[in-house]
Parts: sequence; structure tokens; C-alpha cells
Amino acid sequence: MAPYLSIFGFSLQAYPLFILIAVTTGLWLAARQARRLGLDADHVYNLGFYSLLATVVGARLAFVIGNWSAYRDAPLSALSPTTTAFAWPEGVVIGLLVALIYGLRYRLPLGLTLDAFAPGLALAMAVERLGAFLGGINFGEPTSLPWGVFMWGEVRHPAQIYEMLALLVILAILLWQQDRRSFDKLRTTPFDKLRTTPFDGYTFVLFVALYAGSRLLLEAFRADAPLISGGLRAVQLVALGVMLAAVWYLYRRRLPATEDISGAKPEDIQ
Amino acid sequence: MNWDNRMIWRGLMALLLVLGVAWIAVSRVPDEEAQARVDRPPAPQAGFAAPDFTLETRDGETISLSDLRGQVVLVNFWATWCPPCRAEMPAIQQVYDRYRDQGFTVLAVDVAEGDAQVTAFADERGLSFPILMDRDATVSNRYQVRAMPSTFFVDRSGVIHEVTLGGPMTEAFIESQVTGLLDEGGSE
Repeated sequence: MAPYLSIFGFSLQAYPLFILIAVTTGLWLAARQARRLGLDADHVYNLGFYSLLATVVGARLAFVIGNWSAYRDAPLSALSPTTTAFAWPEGVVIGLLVALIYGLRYRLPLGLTLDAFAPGLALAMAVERLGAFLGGINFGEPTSLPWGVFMWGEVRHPAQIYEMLALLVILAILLWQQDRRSFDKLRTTPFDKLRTTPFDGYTFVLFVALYAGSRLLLEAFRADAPLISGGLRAVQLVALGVMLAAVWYLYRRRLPATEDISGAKPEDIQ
Repeated sequence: MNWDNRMIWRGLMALLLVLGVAWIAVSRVPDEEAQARVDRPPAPQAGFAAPDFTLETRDGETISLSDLRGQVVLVNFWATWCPPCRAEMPAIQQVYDRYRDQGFTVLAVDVAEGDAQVTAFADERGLSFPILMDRDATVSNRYQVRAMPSTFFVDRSGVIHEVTLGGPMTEAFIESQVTGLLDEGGSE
């Protein structure tokens, strides 16, 4: 754990620094993939920028509205730089809304745009996880395994590193999949029967399925996991549902095998 | 062989469902362990019991954090040489005045400064909450304070609810945190 990094004599908080790196590298990769998919990279940068700005502003507004009795007499306090005065979940919803509005305004193709963002999202989240590890956020359950790390008074699973590694594997799969040539290779492998059509939005749905699967698996090692009755980890239940929904969607949009196209019954091709 | 294809997909989904449910069942947190989460060793991090300390005020009175269990406590690490620390003191004083009757208190821990300096500052600003003298910085080290000011909002059960690094905090922000914690434990 290294919650502070010393850079050129300045002591910086690791987590916010890694958030910045995550945003920058994630947007860069999204723009790069957008170009490969034939989209305008400027739109990706703009969409990402407006959406992030709306997330930050929205998160602060939501915090202020949620604590209006405290802010009513001093509304200018809403402009203070305090880093904990944000309601992030609400902010993310507002950021997504702004992204949606931007996409509609410029008539961006939904599926392809999501495909362009998926690898960047995976990269950004992997970098964020490394920052969380250094900052001691989302720490793991206690363990006696040799790779346990000492964090907050106990030797713990490096849960954030597990999540980072899973995201890097997911990133590799997405990039490999997005390389069009890989589909030709895929057709001749034993995975042939599992292949799905590369429909617009495929990479994104694949990302959702894989990420939900990784959370379902790795949430078990997190000590800060919210619990519901019976000691069940709430995030796992959500992740299982999301993963199955995403796999089901891939199944519905699967490419009928070549030999079926001739004699396929209508209900077989969905 | 579309049939096979479909079978494989359905098989995959069924397998994921079974494995997923099994994993959720395996990784659930039994009641004893859930209790152990509450009894975690203290650490200067949100979600943990606030590490206890005992320090002297300027007047030589000793105060322990653990004595204040049942109250919402704002633990603020500060120094007179730190401009944002000085800037947020009036805001802390305002919130202290407004909520001290409802079970809120402030422990302003001065990090390694002389009594005269701190007294002069506190008198000039009319600060009435307890100012503790962390003369050899042991407590601030225990709280891993690297940024000044650092503020820990401790709830009525002694658990750190929020850590705010840097400042100055506004009165509205402090009030939002404090009222949230006062409401939370109102039934106690």
C-alpha cells in the first residue's frame, strides 16, 4: 500500500492520480478503437469529455441537493474543492444521460460506439483498480496465502489486484476479438460452435458478460462487499443476473452456422 | 448443426447459472464473520473503528477518543502554519456551536507545535472546542496523516464514517456530514 506517491518532491494522493491516468488512457484507447471501427475519434473524445464533466458536476449537485438544509444558507459552498463532497452514483447516471444526449444529437451509431468504448473502459477500470490497491480502497478479506498483503491491520487478499488482472485479461480478449481477422481464425477452431456474429455492439455485450462474471467471482475476496440477509454479497447477485442477461443476448444474436442458412427454419435465425 | 449450437448455448447458460449460484452460496459471509467485520482491528480508514488515543488539552486536561463513544466526533489534524487548516477553523466552530447539544463534539489535534503558538491562535479566533496537543506526533502517525488538514468523521459507535484529506472544508460540508451521522444514531 502506498496511498501517497512522491513525484518530483510533491506528495500526491495515489488514488486520484490513478483516476486521472485511467481516464486519459481509457479515452485514448477508445479513440484508437473508434478509428479502427470507422468512427470519428473526435466524437469519442468529446463524448468522453462531456460525459466526465457532467459526472463530476452532477455528483456535486446531487450531493448539495441531498444536503440542501446545510447548503441552503451558503449555496456558494457548493463550489469548494472538497473531494468527499460528491454523490458519485447519481453523478454517473447524469454522465450517462449526457453521453446519450450527445450520441443522439450527433446520430452516433449506438452499437459501434459502445464497441469502441468497451476496451477503453476495461483499461481505465484496470488502472483504477491499481490505484485502489495503492490507496488501500476496496481491501480484501483476511488470508494466510503467501501473496497476501498487509493492509489496514491484517494480511489480506490483494482483491484489487485480482480485479485488475481480470480486467487486463478481459481487455486482451476484447482487443483480440475486435481485430476482424480473429473472426476468420475463430471459424476454424473448436470454438466454432460458440461463435456469434460480430453484430454492432458485440464487443460491448461481451465486455458486460465478462466483467459481470469477474465481479461474481472476485467479489468473494472483498472485505467491503455490501451484504444482504443471509450474509449474501449483494453485488454477486446483481452480477449473476447481468452476466446471464448478456450471455442470453449473445445467444439470441448468434450467427447461424453456415450449413443452417440454406435450410434454416425461420425461428432458428433470430 | 444448429441444434447442437443451440444446445451448447443453453448448456453454457445453465452451467453459468449453477456455478454462479454455487459460488454465491460458497462465498457468503456467515454471521460470525459478519460480526468480525464490526470488530475489525482499528485503522485510520472509513469503515474501521477509529484508533483510540489519549492526549492533553492546552489546559492539561486529558481526553480519550474512546470516552466520547455515543457522540459524533470530528477529529481534525491541523497546525497553525497550515493555511487551509486556519481557514476552516471558523466553519468547524460554527458547526460545533450549533450541534454540540445534540451529541456532537470536535477534537482538533494540533500536530507537534508549541502551546503558546496554539493558544494565541485559538484565543484570537475564539475557538471553544477541545484542542489536543500531539506534541511528538504519535497520534498523527497512527492516523497516517500525510496531508494537512486531515479530518475523520467518527460515528456514535466509534467507527470512521468518512475521511476528508485537505481543505478548507466549508461549513455546509461539515454540517452535511455531521447531521447525517447525528440522524443515523438518533435512536441510541
